[in-house]
Amino acid sequence: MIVDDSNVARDPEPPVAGFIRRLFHRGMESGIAIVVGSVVAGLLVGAILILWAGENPLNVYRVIFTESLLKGSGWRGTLLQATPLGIIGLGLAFSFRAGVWNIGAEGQLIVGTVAAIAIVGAISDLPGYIVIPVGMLTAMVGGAAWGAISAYLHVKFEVNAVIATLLMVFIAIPLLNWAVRVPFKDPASFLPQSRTVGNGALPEIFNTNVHIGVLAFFVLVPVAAWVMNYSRFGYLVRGHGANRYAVYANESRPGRLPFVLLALSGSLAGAAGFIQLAGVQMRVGSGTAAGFGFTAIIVAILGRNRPIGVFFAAIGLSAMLVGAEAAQRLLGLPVALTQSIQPIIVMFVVAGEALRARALKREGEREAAIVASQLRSEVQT
Amino acid sequence: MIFGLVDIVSIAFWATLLAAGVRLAVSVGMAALGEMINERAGVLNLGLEGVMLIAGFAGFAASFESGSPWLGLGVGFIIGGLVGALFAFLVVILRADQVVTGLALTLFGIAFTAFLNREIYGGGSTPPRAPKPGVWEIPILKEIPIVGEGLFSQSHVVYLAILITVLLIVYLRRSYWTIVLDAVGEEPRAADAAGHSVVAVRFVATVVGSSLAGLAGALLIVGQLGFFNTDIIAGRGFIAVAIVIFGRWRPGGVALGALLFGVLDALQFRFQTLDTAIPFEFFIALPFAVTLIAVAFGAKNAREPSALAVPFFRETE
Repeated sequence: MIVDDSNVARDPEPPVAGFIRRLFHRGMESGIAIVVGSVVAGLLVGAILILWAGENPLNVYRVIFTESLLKGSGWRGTLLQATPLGIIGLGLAFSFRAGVWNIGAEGQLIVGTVAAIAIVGAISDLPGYIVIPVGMLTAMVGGAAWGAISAYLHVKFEVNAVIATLLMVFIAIPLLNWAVRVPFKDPASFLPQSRTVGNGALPEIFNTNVHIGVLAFFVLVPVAAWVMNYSRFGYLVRGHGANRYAVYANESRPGRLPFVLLALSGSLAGAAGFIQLAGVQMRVGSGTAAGFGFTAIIVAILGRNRPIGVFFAAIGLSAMLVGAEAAQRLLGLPVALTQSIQPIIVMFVVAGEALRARALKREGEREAAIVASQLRSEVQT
Repeated sequence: MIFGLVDIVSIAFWATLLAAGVRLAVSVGMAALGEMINERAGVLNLGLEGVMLIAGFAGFAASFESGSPWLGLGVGFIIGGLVGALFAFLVVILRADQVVTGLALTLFGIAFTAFLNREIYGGGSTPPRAPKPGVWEIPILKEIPIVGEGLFSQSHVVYLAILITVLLIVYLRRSYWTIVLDAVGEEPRAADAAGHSVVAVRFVATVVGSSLAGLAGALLIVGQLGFFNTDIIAGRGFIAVAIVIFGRWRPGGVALGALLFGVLDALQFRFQTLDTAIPFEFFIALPFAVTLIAVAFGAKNAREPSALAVPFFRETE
């Protein structure tokens, strides 16, 4: 709540305290405080579980932090995992911000990846500067197409978006298993897996052991932030989330924006799939998707559907997962423990958001009552 | 290939297929009935998968430690209700977003049970096994061609599930509480005006629905498999959500949808061993495609409860 206190006399405030106070207000207003509070609460619940598993929580968290962010191999792993999570998360952030629930990114990623390997597997001997763009484009088209099927059902047949996107995941998974077992199987392999991407492998950034897809993610974040906050499209997205009928009445044909958003988030999921394929996995197998599409939902929620937030959430979640693997290696603490802390944080966030919404509603009503009583007294005098 | 064709037209093939279909339908069907109850009150629980895992694991632990699978089923039912109460607290009382909370519950269930399983039972590839309930062959009825084997020569848990399903179909057909449930899910304002607490009805419906989902998890893990493994529910919770839509929020339709799903699933297992022109993955995807098409064409005349996933605010609040 912004209160005009500019003409109220105040004690001079030391600059640092002023900075902290402004930061705090800013945080409360944008809801970052909820996320920070939820992370702390989630880590506390996690600490109880770690204690029960017979380890020292502080020691475990120290290991997770140092192994994932301070050591070279750690932050490389963190960046590599944050990239697909963040790219999908950016697409989902647009979709969720508009109130369009695309929870089928997993399926869109799978179909994009399968489409990419279908083409790339055949042309993998061509030079990389041809194979990589072709593969990327195919993956994006594949993901967008899968999202568009859900969008068509959602817009034309009024199927709930959650249902339309979720069910398509369970059609994509058998499609992937069939694709790597029959048509695109590597004839030289006994396992159900595709050929390698060959020359389609993404180049490294200098000698860092980090592929160029990470750079794409870093470039995409400010672009997405600009689009969300300053472009007409971003304006429509935000408007659609706040009141879709206002947007339909004045700005956009009904159903158009959900369609575009499902296709867009699908194409970003496909892009993430290709980056993961050409940057890390090198071939498609039945475990290709590995839940990235679902974890990215957590990324978008923790990032509060804002591109900058998604960036930090992707890095944070990825670091937790990489650190958890280190904790399993060094301390014997199961990765599953850290994985169960993440959804707990999400539950704290949504509960916090709900409480905040209620508090704002009460505050708004109180102010409306004050204004109404002032108006009444003015009318009387 | 020719052997496969001969096999497909024989009565024995269909009899065993139906029997396997009924077995595979039991768990998803029970979960779908639970989901149907809370959806009719307006609560979408996408955490079904998580509820089934947590309750199923608790049931397995109880069954393994005590040696009694029936205790395991009871524990699954109760733990399902408790997890449901937590979910209801978040989405009904605090009015947190149902889609996100549900998905978070599912992700939590998968990871948390994997963690517990590893800590308590080692989490290895050869998990410890708990005793399973016995099989009850009903003497004369099981001789009926085609349906006999499927309906009258099954594990005790199958009869339990069929019994609960029939009771629910009968009870929900003409009961006072069905009307209240639907009123809360379709027109909460009217239900509120009629003196029913929307929050209380939704809370109870969510707990009951999750209890059945918990029982469903236990039916599969305790009653049919007898062991636990990471992510053992493997999407059945989401399938149950799809079956509710397929069955158009009616218990009979949901039961039928579950059976259809079970038979397709059984067919898929058969096709894995046969070398046919149609890949077996097709039959794994088929139920979802059928559900999507059914929902698309049914969406206009038999839609979901109007207030599904919409939190209720009284005007006085």
